[in-house]
Amino acid sequence: MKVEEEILIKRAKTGDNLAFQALYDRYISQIYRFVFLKVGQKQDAEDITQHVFVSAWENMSSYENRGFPFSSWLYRIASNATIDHFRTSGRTVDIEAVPEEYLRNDDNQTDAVDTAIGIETVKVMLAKLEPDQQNVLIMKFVEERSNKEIAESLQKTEGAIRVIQHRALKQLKTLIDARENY
Amino acid sequence: MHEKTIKQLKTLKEITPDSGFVSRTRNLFIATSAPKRVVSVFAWQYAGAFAVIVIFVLAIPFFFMPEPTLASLDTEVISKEIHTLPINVQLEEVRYNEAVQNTISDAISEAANTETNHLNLSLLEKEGSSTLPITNSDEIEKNVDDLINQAVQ
Repeated sequence: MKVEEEILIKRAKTGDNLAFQALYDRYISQIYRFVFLKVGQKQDAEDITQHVFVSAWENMSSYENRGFPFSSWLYRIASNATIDHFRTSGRTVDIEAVPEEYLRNDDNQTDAVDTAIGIETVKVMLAKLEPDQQNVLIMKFVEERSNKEIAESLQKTEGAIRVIQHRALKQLKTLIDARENY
Repeated sequence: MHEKTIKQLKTLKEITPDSGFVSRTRNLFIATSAPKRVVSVFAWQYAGAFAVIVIFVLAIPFFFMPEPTLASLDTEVISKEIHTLPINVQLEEVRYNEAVQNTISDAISEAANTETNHLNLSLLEKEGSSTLPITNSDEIEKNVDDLINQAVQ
């Protein structure tokens, strides 16, 4: 953990709003992205992300630095929040809500649309994986976290993370290939 | 092997939160006062020891109480109960009946025994002949009066 972040955490633990805001600015994008890729809905992602940071702020005094980045703690709160979200709402990600036109091969589409389709396709296929597989792929390849940090966030061993990662990549590739050949 | 898939995953990094949402949420922490740390007055690691002390304190009165005797082990009570049991009443009746039976059998055997002295006819006749004739009581009283007068004179 960087010294600067350690100082911010110490200050935030004493109730320093500005210090916590600095931590918020540092991690809001990746936590929002993590949640959005899990729940698939912008409004839900915003609500859950807000809940994650409010919970972190309210429980800042109980945070213990165990040598992992502050984001590990935030990812853990976010992961639990998404589980609670699915449990209470009883909803799953509506992968069929993706407009069909985004998923067709059309030579007239612009590069921007290609990118959007690519993102949407991966997002939709990602949503078909198991929650742990989603967590590992997002944290490893989207957020570029180390296996050690992912293991800490998900409360698993590094060996388990490697196994999940291998299976998740294989399954995601199969799903994307199948969609592209559709 | 999975380079293409990984590359596709990295495109997801382009997803960013809405700037309005980011600023709205940030403002929450300006408006919200610093959370106060709740100092727990109860240390859970000492819960076991605390429970033992409580149990010990509650048990103290029992250590100083006179040893209670169970009714079923009190010999005095048991003895009283035994004496009032119906079987004892029956035993008393048996003893009484036995005594009555003995008395009756003795009387019957005595009555049936002709060798008994007071029922022996020859003896009774002999006693009757040797007995002084019964005198008249008036005569005796007169004799007594005469003797008393002589003594007075």
